[in-house]
Amino acid sequence: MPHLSRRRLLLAVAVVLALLGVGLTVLGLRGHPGPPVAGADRPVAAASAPADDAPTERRPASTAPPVLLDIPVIGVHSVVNQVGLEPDGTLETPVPGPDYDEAAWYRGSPVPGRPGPSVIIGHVDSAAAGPSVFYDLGRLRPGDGIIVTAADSARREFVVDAVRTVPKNDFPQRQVYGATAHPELRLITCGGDFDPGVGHYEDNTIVFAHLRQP
Amino acid sequence: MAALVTAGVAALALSGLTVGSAAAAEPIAQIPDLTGQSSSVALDEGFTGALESLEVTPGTIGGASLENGSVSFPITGGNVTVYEPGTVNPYVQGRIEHNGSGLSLTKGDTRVELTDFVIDPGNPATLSGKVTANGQTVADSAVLFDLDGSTLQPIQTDAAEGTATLTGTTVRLSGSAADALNQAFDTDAVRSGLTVGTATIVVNLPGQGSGQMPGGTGAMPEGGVDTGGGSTAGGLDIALLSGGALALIAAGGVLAARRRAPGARR
Repeated sequence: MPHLSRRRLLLAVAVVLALLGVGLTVLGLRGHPGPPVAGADRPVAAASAPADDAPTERRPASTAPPVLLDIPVIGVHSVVNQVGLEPDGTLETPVPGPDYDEAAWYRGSPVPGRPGPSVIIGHVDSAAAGPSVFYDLGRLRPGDGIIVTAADSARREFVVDAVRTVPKNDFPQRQVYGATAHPELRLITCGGDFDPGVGHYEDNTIVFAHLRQP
Repeated sequence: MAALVTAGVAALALSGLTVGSAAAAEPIAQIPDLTGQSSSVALDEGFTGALESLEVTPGTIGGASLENGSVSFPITGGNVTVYEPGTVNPYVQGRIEHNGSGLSLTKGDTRVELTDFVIDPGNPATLSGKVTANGQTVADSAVLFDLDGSTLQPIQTDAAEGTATLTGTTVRLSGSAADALNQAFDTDAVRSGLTVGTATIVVNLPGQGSGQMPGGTGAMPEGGVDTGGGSTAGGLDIALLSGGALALIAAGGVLAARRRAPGARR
């Protein structure tokens, strides 16, 4: 009788493993759907999430750089590091390491809250470890709130105006980085199809936002 | 810097502030050389009607143009200095120059020319210029128009074009200009404060041509941004496939063990 029970147990384990194997294989063959593009759906609960209830700064921004980024509607809460430019003039991006999955402010752009387009970038994913800090950027919609906290603890709220997915080889430089009359914010990550030959996505997803005024 | 220019343009319409001094405050931006674009005035029917009743014909001088009821003057230079609001009155100081262009007013043998306009965004905001009558200089620099910003509309910027546009400033004839015109045309019909029209000022935003980041300290980045490694891209998910394979292999191993277990049929 004990032998019979052990054999049944082994059979049950084998069946469970087989089902798990088949399931994982099917999911693996289907693959990832890819990062959300501009206008992507999002859960209904998230759609109505408030930006933030904490008070935001109304005074003109100082020169203190941004240190924190919060986008409650897509669950982003990230330290903001800084990047510069590569020798070819393109933006540096966070390199593999502890800062890889954190947002980064282009230090050559205006401080968030100062006139002009402040630029914060973040990875959509990594080469092997799945979604990164800006994976859900494409799910943002006009009216969503973005909170940027500066090194002097001042918090400023930006309001999403538009989310666009653009090809990298036809990047609208002037529209993204061009002059603005008021403080604005640009959040940039990757999107579209991935080209395994070069190891890069073909598009950028860009969020255009403006400073919420008193 | 670009946005500060727009702030400077906006300040052109500010009026009614108390006159103050620069004191020892440090400017947050200085734009030593304004370049390009124009200041134009959509002429008010009351003003054109007054000229018509006086049988005065308006015309343009130099690079100015008069089309569809709007007179336009190219910006040739100037500068703007911006202070933190509240630290200095006015917090935007400087001048916008329109050298070599102007407006002519002709009646019979009398020709009055108003040229070389300079917009001063101070308190009060004014437009001054050179006045000549039949070739004789009446004033090298007289306040011709008072600028009223109470009707100002929000600044519009066109990042792709690299311009900032400010419209809505009401332009009114100054007392000295009304006196000069009355004297030149031998009338008393020209009133001080007469609405000339609504001004639109378009300036080139700095940084657009130089490749500088507007409002920032660095260069404008080139091209797109490589912010992804591809692990969530569409296609086969190697991790899941590997897990599935391992699970199936394990299932096979368990079945083999079951066959070898005591009680199995041989």
